[in-house]
Amino acid sequence: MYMAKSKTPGPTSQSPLPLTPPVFHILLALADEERHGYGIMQDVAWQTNDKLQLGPGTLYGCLKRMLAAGLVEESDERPDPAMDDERRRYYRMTALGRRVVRAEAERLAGAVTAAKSRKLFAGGKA
Amino acid sequence: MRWLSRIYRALLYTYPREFRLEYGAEMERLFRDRCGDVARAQDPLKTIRFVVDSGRDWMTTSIRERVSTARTLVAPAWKSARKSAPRGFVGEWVVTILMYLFATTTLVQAYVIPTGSMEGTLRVGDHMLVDRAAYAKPGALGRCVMPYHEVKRGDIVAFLYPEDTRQTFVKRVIGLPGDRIRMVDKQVIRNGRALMEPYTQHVDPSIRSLSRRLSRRARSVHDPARAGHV
Repeated sequence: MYMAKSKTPGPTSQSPLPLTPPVFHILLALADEERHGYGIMQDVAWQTNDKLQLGPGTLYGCLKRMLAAGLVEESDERPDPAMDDERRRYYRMTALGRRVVRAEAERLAGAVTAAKSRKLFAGGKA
Repeated sequence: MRWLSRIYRALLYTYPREFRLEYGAEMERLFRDRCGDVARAQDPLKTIRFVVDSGRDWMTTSIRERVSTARTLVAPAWKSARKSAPRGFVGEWVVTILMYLFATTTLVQAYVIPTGSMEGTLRVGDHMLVDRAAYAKPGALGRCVMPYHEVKRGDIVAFLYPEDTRQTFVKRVIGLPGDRIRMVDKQVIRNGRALMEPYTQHVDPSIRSLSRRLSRRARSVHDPARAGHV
């Protein structure tokens, strides 16, 4: 299973697209604000209607690779004083990450348009 | 829920060291937060789903991180190996090591024969593999998987010598519990019938110099008490 996945280019390879679903949703979660791990997980669950629950291993494995690829970076600021915990790490999207997630969203939108034109997809309800 | 966190903390040790040091604390905190969410929901279905998801997450990602760490460590070897057999390289070794650990502790054990008491069948210096599970009591599941049989007459068995369990003896079973065994003039008689024993060699103690020890062992082949201790 792992080998099969690595055949599709991950974010670390030359061409980062297509992104794996966890990576794409993590980038989406970081699009408008910096978040810590639990915040990312909650936002991804919200985005996907609880379909994608990121486990700790998946989340931090992805973050490790995304940090290495320069898609995200660790933030020193503490943007959420209510939830703040000294030891929590916050992550923010880099300019590269923003470009990549935009390209991925456009790629997906293209695929959706194609699916619609073949009457495979009504839009709104999948 | 607290014991779940504790289990998870232990499971974190299956991740590579650098990864655990870097993210272990964060992962544990995330897991605890999730535990809290699930506990608040008080929905058994959600709890089950959470446990299953976490288990799957742990299994897949701990293996993935291990593989990726191994790849950075052995990158040059990996590069040449993956051209021919990308999965084979790591997979083969993992399977080999697991088989080795599992097999030597539960299935077979290797011995070298140190004495001539079974001369003719087993010689001094012979190597042999002993099937450790042959006489093991199987469970309901084991019965389907493992071949199991009772001790039979004529079996060659390895066992711990009852008077000194540090020693392992190899002997042939000539009698089962309840059998009557007698020896008259080098002929073993079991339940009133003489045994055909073409494999035995009788050593006269007066001929060989190391004969005392040897003959005692040779006699023990014919000792009915032995068979009961298999």
